[in-house]
Amino acid sequence: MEDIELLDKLTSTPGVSGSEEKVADVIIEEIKGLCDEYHTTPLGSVIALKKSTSGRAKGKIEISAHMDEIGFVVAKIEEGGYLRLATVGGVDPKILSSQEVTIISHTGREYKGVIGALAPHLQTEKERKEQPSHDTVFVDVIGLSEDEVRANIRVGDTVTMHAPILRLMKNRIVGKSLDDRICVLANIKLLRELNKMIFDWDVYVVFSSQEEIGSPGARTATYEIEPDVGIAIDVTIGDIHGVKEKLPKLGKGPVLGLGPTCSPKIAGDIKKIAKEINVPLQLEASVRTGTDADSMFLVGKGVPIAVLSIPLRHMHTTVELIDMDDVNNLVRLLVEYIKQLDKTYEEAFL
Amino acid sequence: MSEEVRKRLCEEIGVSGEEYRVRKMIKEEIGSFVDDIRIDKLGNLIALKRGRSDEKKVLFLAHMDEVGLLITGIEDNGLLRFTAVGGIDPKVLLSKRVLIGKDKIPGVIGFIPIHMQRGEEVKVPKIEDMRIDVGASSNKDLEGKVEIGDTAGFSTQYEEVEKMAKGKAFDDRAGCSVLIEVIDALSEQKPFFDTYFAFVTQEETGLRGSGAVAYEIMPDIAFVFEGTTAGDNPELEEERWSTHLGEGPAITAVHRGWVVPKWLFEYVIGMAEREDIPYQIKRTTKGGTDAYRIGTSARGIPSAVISVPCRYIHSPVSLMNLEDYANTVKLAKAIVNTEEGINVR
Repeated sequence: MEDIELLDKLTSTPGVSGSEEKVADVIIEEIKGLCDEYHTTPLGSVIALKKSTSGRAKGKIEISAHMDEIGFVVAKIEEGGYLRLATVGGVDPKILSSQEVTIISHTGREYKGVIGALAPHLQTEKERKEQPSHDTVFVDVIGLSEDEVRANIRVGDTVTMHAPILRLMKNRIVGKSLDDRICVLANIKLLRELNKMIFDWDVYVVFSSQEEIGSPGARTATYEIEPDVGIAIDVTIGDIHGVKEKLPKLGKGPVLGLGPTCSPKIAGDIKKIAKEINVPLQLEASVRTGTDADSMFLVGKGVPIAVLSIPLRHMHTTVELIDMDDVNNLVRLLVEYIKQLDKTYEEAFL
Repeated sequence: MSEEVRKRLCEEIGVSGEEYRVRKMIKEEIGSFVDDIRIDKLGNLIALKRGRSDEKKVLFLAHMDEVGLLITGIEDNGLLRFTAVGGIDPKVLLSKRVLIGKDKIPGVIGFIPIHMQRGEEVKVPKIEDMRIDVGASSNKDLEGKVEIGDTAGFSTQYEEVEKMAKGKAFDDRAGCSVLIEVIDALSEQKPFFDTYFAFVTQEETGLRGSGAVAYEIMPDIAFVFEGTTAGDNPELEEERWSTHLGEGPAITAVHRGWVVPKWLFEYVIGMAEREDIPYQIKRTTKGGTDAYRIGTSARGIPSAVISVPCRYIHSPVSLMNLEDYANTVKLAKAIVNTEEGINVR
């Protein structure tokens, strides 16, 4: 499948944290022919293993991308059949007016809805000045009467935003949940590449659950794998209008994380390899990475970690914007890093 | 009329001043069913359907334009500055998609992520502080593609789910669609009086197109068809609803600057009752329509307003009830085909 087509499928399949089953199914369908074995963990993460193709398994590397997304659960059904929402993960109420949403009923059926916005003609002066708040957000379920809403939707059903993938100029695309489905796509592309090459280490490709609520999915998957090296691939806040501080730029390459969570040895190797294969690389230092890496790092006896990110504008909105060049460069970098892992862990790191 | 026509009509972009695509589509749709069709100096599309009597002239009117954005600047980094065309609440613009200019270049209105908003009060920006991102990395990428003065419309898909329709620009493609259906119905039967169908420009920028039509036609009576506000949401008391979805076409008694002549208001209600069509009387008096411009033209032209109630108008996505829509069409057909004509006072 074409990358963009697959990405549209991945982002339009609902997977609010803790309810990733449907997106996991899409991923499994895509990877089952690309790995030696795969399974789903008790917390819903998908682990795919692509064994060393040289037959000299000298170590285990885990590459993890989270498959969950921010969203909502239904909190209340109002008179008239309107839904009130509670958030899952960091959702900004300021972007919600007049958004389209999908309600995933506990029956398995999906319903379309819109988040209502009072027409300016009907607003009072006070309402005009009010800032949006989650308390006043409501969903109008399209085509269902109040009775039908009450019969088919209940409190606790998940709700996601609806916004198809859109191509912009150059190699840039826009969509919802590119945080972190863009790296889910990168992981699938990585598995495709691994099928064409010789490498010494066993590669565990992980699609983790529940990153947006604190990474229990990645933590427990990493516990199972006990990797010698872990790499979290995620998105990072890209340069954006309205923010003065210098942020990673779109199209200027993947972003390497630096700081106490990240192994200086792995980071150094990645920098060296990027230069060798001519992949542009940007650097970003932080104490906490804000990714699955923070959890993976401390699993079991500890895991040396790297973080590689795709710069993304408008994070946690329905217009998350990335440059596909950065994704392709991320995959090239991961491929080359895995190719060069030819020593044992002790030889390489101590 | 088919769902397919409504879909094309509502998805087409025609921000005030650049209604040409909508005008072309409507012209193609109705051209072969009318006795005369022309485009006037302000871009209004005027069609005539001759009646059994030429004693009076009746005008049916809907506006083609929709609210949207006007590109006012291109920055060195390729981001676009813009202003609103028509009344748009800035709150509905964040995290939305638009199509820009004649080539419909896609772009998005972004916002700083919630992660960077901690510790400070970040509010919905003013429209002049928002930007459209089309994926360009410099203004050079935009040469020949986007220009200052281009308009941008929302890119929402039209869809019908059960008896509801979802889409953009129901204000006033709903009205345009009603007129097209009436013209369709007249392919087999002449209206009582000569009837003009005007699809006008620039309603949203201050009722600008319709005045020219009034002077050109000098009708004896006018009926304005609109997609109007419905505020029947869980926050609002009933008196603020304006209209309520599912109760039928909304008939206006009075709005900004215009009181519908009592006899005409009663005539429209009487027609709905005679034909057993559900209707509601619009509960609010805010907002104006082309009825003000037509009504106050020349010596004064009796003008009525009949609307399809629509939720969340002037935003990227609105909803209307297709039964209300069908009942509005039914009422319009009853008026145009009335057997005794209209006794204009």
